Amino acid sequence: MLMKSIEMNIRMIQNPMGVSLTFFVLLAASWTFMPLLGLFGTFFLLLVPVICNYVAYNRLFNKSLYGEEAGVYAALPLSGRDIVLGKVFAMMLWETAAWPIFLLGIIGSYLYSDLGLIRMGIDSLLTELVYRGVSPLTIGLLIGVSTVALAFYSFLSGVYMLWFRFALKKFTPKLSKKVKGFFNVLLACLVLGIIRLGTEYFVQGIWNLGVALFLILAAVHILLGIAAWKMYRASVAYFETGYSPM
Amino acid sequence: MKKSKTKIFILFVIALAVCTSVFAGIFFYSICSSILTDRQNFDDLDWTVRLNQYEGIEALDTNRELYMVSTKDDKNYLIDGRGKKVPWELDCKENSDILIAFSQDDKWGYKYPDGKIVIAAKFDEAYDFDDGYAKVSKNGTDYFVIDDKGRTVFEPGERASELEQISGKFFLFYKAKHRSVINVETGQVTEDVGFYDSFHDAGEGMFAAKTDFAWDDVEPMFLLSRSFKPMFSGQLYNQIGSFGQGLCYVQKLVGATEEEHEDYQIENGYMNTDGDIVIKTATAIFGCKFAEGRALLYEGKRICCIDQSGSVLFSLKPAKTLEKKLGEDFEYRYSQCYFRNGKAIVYDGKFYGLIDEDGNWVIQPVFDEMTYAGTDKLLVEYKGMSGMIRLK
Repeated sequence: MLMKSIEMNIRMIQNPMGVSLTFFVLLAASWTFMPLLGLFGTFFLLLVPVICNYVAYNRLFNKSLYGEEAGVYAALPLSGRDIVLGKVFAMMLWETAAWPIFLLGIIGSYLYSDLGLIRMGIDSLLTELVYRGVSPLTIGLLIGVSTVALAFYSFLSGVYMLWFRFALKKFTPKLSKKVKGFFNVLLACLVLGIIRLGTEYFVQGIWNLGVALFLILAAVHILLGIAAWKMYRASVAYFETGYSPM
Repeated sequence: MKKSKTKIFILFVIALAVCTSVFAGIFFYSICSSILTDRQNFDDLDWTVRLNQYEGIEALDTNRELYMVSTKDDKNYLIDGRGKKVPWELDCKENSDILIAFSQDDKWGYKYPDGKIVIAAKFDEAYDFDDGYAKVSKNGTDYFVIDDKGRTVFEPGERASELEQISGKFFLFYKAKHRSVINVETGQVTEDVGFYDSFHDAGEGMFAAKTDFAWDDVEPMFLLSRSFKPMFSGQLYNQIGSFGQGLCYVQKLVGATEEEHEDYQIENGYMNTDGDIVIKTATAIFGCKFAEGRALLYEGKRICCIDQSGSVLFSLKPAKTLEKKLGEDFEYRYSQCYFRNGKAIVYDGKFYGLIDEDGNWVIQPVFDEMTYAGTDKLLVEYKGMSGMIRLK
């Protein structure tokens, strides 16, 4: 039933996913072939995937579970694991599909763009890393395994989105009554955004620590992994026992 | 069937993402490896200012070897040709070119590198001084010209925002709806020069001026005298370099005028100050300035070094085939590519390097920018980092 659940969730978000990926392709192409459009239009071209992202989050983690379609969804013979993994995998698939487009856009722009802004930015960043003592092999390896890292972050985001709803209800029942539907997804995204931003600042603050950096990052990721696993288990248990579409 | 289609789609996405990221990993690894190799090669150079030592470096006075460096925390220091910080009591009054714009309470003024304020911060905008004159603005729209004592020497009045410094004492401005040039030292004003788009100082008392029209892949230019009148009977050129040792690279459009340009021929070569081509270079796309009896000539698939008789002394292979693109500023790109003390900066189509008189690379072409600074110094830029090299 897991495959069925994944397929159903992919269908649920196939329209925003299609639009979003099309805009990603446009964005990547503009960086390479229309650098001026890429320079001035990136913000507007990114706006569409951001909106699509919200629409998809709303469909996956709000409407289908707690909205109008929730009754139908709850009637399906899906286990807690099928529900959780079905939604999380659908989201992972979307982000995994966008990643090669982004990477190819960057590489294409680096090699062929006349404007050379991306080339300058990448050269400048890589040179700084090499001059700080990070070896080319480490940089290559980190980028090489980026899909695995992306899959990990997608899984983490997915289980967090599921967990956030009932955790809010459990820990702050008053707030959860006020923050429903649209606002719930928005609040979850906001908290996730703040955590991601905070992580970025944290990494920027420690990135010149050499070997210690990798130890700290490893420790942080082990903690994140434990958090993801806990949230996954809690979500599965919730959909097995405590879930109500109302 | 549908189920298998979904499976195939999922597997395809995963395979694509994994393959792309592995490819990207190898791609960025190769870039980092070349950066590391360059860094190891840089150890052989005599660095006065190391590449990652300062955020930026700018030549203030190459004769006296004074350079301004900026740090990552936005502080500026003055250094000498040995890279040592210069004491602030240095007397800079002799040279007005060394005036530096500074801001105070959202206003701009000028001071010497020792911090002594020469012109108080009272302008909304302040441009760099060139040969004793600078363009400034008091309310963001009223632009005017000041000298190095802070005295107003010219106020255009009409369309003041379009005031533009061509070179030193020559400024473009609008007068009775016409664009003219004023010599702010003498007050002499030219006739309408609205026909011209941009200017560069070609040397020997001439300016090269791009016109505001173009056809096919030709951007016609004129050579103008110091009174901004066309020279050599209004001859049109497709490309004009700079004079050096009495010679200037040009692409002469023989038989072409502004109105009639259907049937014309391009004469490619170095001309003398009388406007006659004395060295023919049929296949060149650009010729650099003559210095020390030699000049670098850029052809599509080779870079030649020629002497004043036009004989090829040696040639180099560029990193990629060179071609002229409409709108590309060759004069800017190749302005530093000439011989000095037996060595020449060369742009190989991708990067800048340094060659000796026999055409051997003294410094491999890996730098994004390279300029002469002082008698035996080079300012270089490598992937966003600036430094200074002393030539051995």
